[in-house]
Amino acid sequence: MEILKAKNLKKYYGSGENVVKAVDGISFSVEKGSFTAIVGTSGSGKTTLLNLIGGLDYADSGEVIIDGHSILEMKEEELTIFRRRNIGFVFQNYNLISVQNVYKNIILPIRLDGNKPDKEYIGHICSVLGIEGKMDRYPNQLSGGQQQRVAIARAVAAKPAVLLADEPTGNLDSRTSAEVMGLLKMTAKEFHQTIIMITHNEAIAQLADRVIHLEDGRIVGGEIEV
Amino acid sequence: MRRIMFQNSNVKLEKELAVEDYKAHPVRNRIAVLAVALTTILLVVVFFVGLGMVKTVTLAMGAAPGPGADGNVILGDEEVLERVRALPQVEWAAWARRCSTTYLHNREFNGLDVRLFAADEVHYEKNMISLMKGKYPENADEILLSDTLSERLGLEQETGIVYPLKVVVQGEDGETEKEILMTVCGYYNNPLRNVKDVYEEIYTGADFIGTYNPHIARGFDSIYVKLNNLDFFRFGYDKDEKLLEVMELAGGNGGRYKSSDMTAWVIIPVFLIACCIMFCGYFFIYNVFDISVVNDIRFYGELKTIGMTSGQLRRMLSWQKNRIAFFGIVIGGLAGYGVGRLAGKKLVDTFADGIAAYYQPAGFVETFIISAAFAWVTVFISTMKPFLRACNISPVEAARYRGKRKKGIFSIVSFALSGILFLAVYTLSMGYRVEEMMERYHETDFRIYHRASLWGQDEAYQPVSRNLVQKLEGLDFTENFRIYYLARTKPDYYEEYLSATGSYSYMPSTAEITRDGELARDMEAYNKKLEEDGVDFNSSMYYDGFAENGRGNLRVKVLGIVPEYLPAEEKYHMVLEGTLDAEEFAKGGYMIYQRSGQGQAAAAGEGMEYQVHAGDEITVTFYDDAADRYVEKELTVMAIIAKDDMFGTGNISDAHIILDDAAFRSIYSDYENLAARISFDVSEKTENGETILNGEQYETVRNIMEEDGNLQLSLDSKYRTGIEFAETKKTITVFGIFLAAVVGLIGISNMVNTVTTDVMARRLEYASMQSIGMTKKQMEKDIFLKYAHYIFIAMGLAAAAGAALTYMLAATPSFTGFSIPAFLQALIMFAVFSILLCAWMARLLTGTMNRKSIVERLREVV
Repeated sequence: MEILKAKNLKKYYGSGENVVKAVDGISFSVEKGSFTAIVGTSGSGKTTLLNLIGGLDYADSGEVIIDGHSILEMKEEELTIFRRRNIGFVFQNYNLISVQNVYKNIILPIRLDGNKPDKEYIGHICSVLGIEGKMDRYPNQLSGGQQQRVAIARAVAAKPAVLLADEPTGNLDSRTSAEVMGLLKMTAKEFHQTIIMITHNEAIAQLADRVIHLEDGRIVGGEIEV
Repeated sequence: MRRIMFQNSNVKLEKELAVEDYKAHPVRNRIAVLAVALTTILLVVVFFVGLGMVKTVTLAMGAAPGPGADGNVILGDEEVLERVRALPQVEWAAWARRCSTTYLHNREFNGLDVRLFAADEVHYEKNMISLMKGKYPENADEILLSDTLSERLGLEQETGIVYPLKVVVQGEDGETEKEILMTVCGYYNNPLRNVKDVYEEIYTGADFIGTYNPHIARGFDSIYVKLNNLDFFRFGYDKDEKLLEVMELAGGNGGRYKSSDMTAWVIIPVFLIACCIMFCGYFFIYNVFDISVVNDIRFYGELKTIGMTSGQLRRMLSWQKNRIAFFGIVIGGLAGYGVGRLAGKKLVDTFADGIAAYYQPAGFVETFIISAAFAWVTVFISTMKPFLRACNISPVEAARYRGKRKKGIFSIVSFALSGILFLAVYTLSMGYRVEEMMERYHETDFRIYHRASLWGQDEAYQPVSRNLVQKLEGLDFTENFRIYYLARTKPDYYEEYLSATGSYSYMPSTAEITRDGELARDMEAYNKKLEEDGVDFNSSMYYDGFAENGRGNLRVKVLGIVPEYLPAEEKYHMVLEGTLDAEEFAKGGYMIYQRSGQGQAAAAGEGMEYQVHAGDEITVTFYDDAADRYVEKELTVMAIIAKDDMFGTGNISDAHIILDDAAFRSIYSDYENLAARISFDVSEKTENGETILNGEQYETVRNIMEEDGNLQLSLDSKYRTGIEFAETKKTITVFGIFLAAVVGLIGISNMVNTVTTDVMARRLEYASMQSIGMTKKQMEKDIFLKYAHYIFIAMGLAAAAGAALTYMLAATPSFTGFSIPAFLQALIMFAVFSILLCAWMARLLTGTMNRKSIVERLREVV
C-alpha cells in the first residue's frame, strides 16, 4: 500500500540564467512500512526533496500525497498540524530542545497536539532505543548518539505515518552511525514505520530496503514508476 | 633560563578587531546607544532644570527686590555707590533711590506694598526691569509701571495715562501724604511676579526727589550689589560675610541679603533624582552588554585560544563601549538640552507658581559636562561586570558556556521601576484633591488679616475700621462672620532701627503682663531654657520666648475670641492639658495658655515642663496701654494647647493667652481698634449644599477693602487658593507624565531587548518545534507566555513598591493622601498595557522569525 506519492515535484531558486533547479520534476512513491534511502552528492537536491515531501517547504509545482492527503494544497496551519501528527523528523544535528529534558523532548509533538502522552508506549520506545535511564537528562548531557536516539524517539512517539531522516548519521562516528542505522531499521520494524532517509553515504544507504539516486534534482536510479 | 618579556605592540590590531566586532553587532550598538541616549536625555533634563531651578529659586527665595543681585543690598548714597563700584569683588552695582518715605497710600493698592523708586540704567538692566512698552521715566512726573500692576489696575498697558500717586513725603515736621499727578510713560516685565500680590515697584525720574521729597533721609537708598566671589559650594551661606566685607570697604548704612539656604534643598533632590536615573540606565545598559557578551562568549574564548590577553580583550571591548557612549551621550545631550530648553521654564512656572520670571536657564556647557560625566559613569559601571566575565573566562569554559538565566532579573526590575513611577505619578496626580488642599489652608471661605498685628511694618498701625466690618458683614453672600482681636501696646516701634536708618519700623502686635504671678514664672522659666539653648529671643519679635519691655513687663500675645468660635479652632491645636469647652469658656473667668509658637515638640522638650497646669487658678496682671492702667484678672487655666497646624490655618495659633471676648474687652479699653482677623463663609450654596465660590465674590470683597483704604490688611480666599492648586495639579500631571514616559521607555526597551534576544537565541529551537508541528499560533503563545512571565513578576513588584512609595509621598504636605481608586485605575492601566505589550511583541517576533522558512532557519549555524 502506498503511503507516500510524489508527482512531478519541482522546486527552482532564482530566475533566468541564474536559476537553480534544486528539484526538477521528481516523481516516486513509497510503500507503507518500507525503508527508503535517497542518495545523492552535495547539491543533488536530496534535502530539498525531503523538505518538500515533509511539508517544510512548498514546491513550485507538483503534488505530494501522504496517506491519501495532498499536503501541498493545505494551508500553513493545516499543514503544520498534519506534519505534527503524520510525519516524524530526524535531523542531522538532532534539533532537540536544549531547555527541556529527554522525556519532554520526546513527548513534545504530542503535547503540541494538546494530547496526553501514552506513557507505556513512550516507555517502550525508550526501552527499544536504549535511553530509558536518561529521561531526566538534558540534551547537553548526552553524547551525539544518545541525542540522535532521543530524536528518533521523538519522531516516532506520535505514531506518524512517515518518518523522514535527514542525514541522521551525519554528525556521528562510524560505530555510532551503525548503531543508529540499526535502531532506525528496528524502529521501522517494531512500530511499522515507513522511513525515508536522506544520506550521501552509499554504504549507509545500502542498509535500506530501496535506494533512490538523485543527481541535479532528478532521479537517476531506483525509482518506481508512478 | 632568563625569561624575556616581549612587549605587546599590536594596539593597531586591537583596534581593528574592535572595529570589526563593533560592526558585527549593529542591533546591539543601536540598542546600547538608545540606552545611553535615553539615560543622558533624562540626566540632561534633570540637571538643566535642576541647575536652572537652583538659580531661579536662589533669586526668588525671600522675595527680595533686586533679583539680579541675589537680593544683596547696601544702604548708601552716591558716594557709597562709587566706592562700591570700584571694588574688585563687585561685578556690578545698581542704584534705586527711595522717592516715597514709606509705601504709597493709594487705596487701590490695598493689600499691596507699593514702593516708588528712581533707578539708574544699571538697575533697569541688571535687575530685570525690562521694558515691554513705552520708555523708561526721565522726568519727575513720569512713572513706569509693571505689567502685573497694570493688570491689577486695569490699565491695559496704555501709556500717557495721568495717574495720581499718594506719596509719603518727609516734611520739616514729619511725614505727610501728598497726591502727585504722574504720567504713565511705560510698562515693564515684572521680575518679582511671585510676590505680585504683596509687593510692587513703580519707577520715576531721578529729579522726583529734588522736586517733591527733598528732605527724605539720605544715605538709605538701595545699592544692589552683585558679588563675584561667592563660593558655589557654600550655597549662599557666605553671602553675609562677603557683603559685610564690601560694606566695610565702601561704607554704607547697613545691608540686606536674601537668604539662599534653599539652594541645598534644590541641589540635593537634583542629585538624588540623577542617581535614580543612573540606576534605571544602569539596568538597561548592563543588560544590553551582558546579553552581547554572553552571545559572543565563545568568540572571546576563541580569541583567547589564539593568544589574545585579557587586557587586549578588555581594550577591544572598551573601545566599543566608548564609541557607543560617545554617540549616546552626544545624541542624548543634544536632545535633552532641547527638551530642557523647551520645557524648563514651563516646569519651573508650573512647579513653583510665579517664579518663572526669575527663570534663568542653566548653561549648555555646565549642564552637558555634568550630565555627560554622570552618563559616562553609568556606562562604565554598567559594563564592568560583563567585560570582566568576557576577559576572565578561559577558552574551555567559553566553549561550554551556557550563560546564567539572571539577565531577566534586570529587565524585571527595570520594567518594575517604570511601573512604580507610572503608578506613583498617576495616583498622585489623579488622586490630588484640590478641594482638600483648599480646606487645609482655609478654615473659612474668606479671611482678612491685619499684617501689622503679625509682622513688622514701615508705618504706624492703622486699626480695622468699623465701616469695613459693617460692609463685609452686610454682604448678602456672607455667613459665620467672626472677628478675632489681638492686643497691642506702645511704644510699638524699634528704637534701634529708627536711629540706624532714619525710618520707623513698627513691631507686630504684642501686649504685656507683669512679671508676678504663676504664669509669668512659667514664661520666665521658659525664657531661661531658651537662653541656655542660645536662642536670643530679645533680638526679634518672631523668636520664641517672652522679651522684656521698657516697663519691665513681659511681652506676650493676648487674643480675644468669642467662645462659640472655639470648637472650630480645636482641630488646629493639640490640647496638652485640660479641654476646650466652649460653653464653660463662655461663662467667663477662664484663659487658654499656648506657650510656644513652635508646637508641641518644643513645648514638651527637656527642661520645658510647665509651671502652670490646666485647672490652676492664677492671677495675671495685664497692661492696658490705651488707658495706661493695669488690670488684674483672676483666671482659671482651662487648657494648655500647642499649635498643630503647619498650614497657618488656625486663628489662635500665634497667641500666648487666649481670653473670651468679654474678658478681653474688660481689659483693653481700645478694644474696637484691635481687630486682627476677620473671617467669614459664603452662604450661597448649590442644591446639594456645596458652597458656590466664584471670582465675583472675591472681587466684591477686594473692592470693599480697596475702598476702605487700609493698606495694612491682606485678603485670603479659598477661591484663589483653589485656582493655584488646580495649576499645581496640572503641573504634577504634566511633569510626572514626562518623567514616567522616559523612564517607561527605558523599562519597556529593556524588557523588549531581553526577551527578544532570548527568543531570537532560541530561533533554531523554534524552527525545530515548528518542524515537528508547532503552529505559528502556538509559537506566538509560547513567546507571549515568556514575556508574560517577566512582566507579571515586574507588575507584582511594581504594585507592591509603587503602593508603598505612593503612600509615603501622598502623606507629605504637598499631596492629599493616598487615593485607592486612583491607584487601582493606574494598576489596571499598567496591567492592560503590559498584556498588550506582551501580545504585540509575541506577534511581532513570531512574524519576524517566520519571515525565513523553517528550512532556512534550521540551516542556520548558531
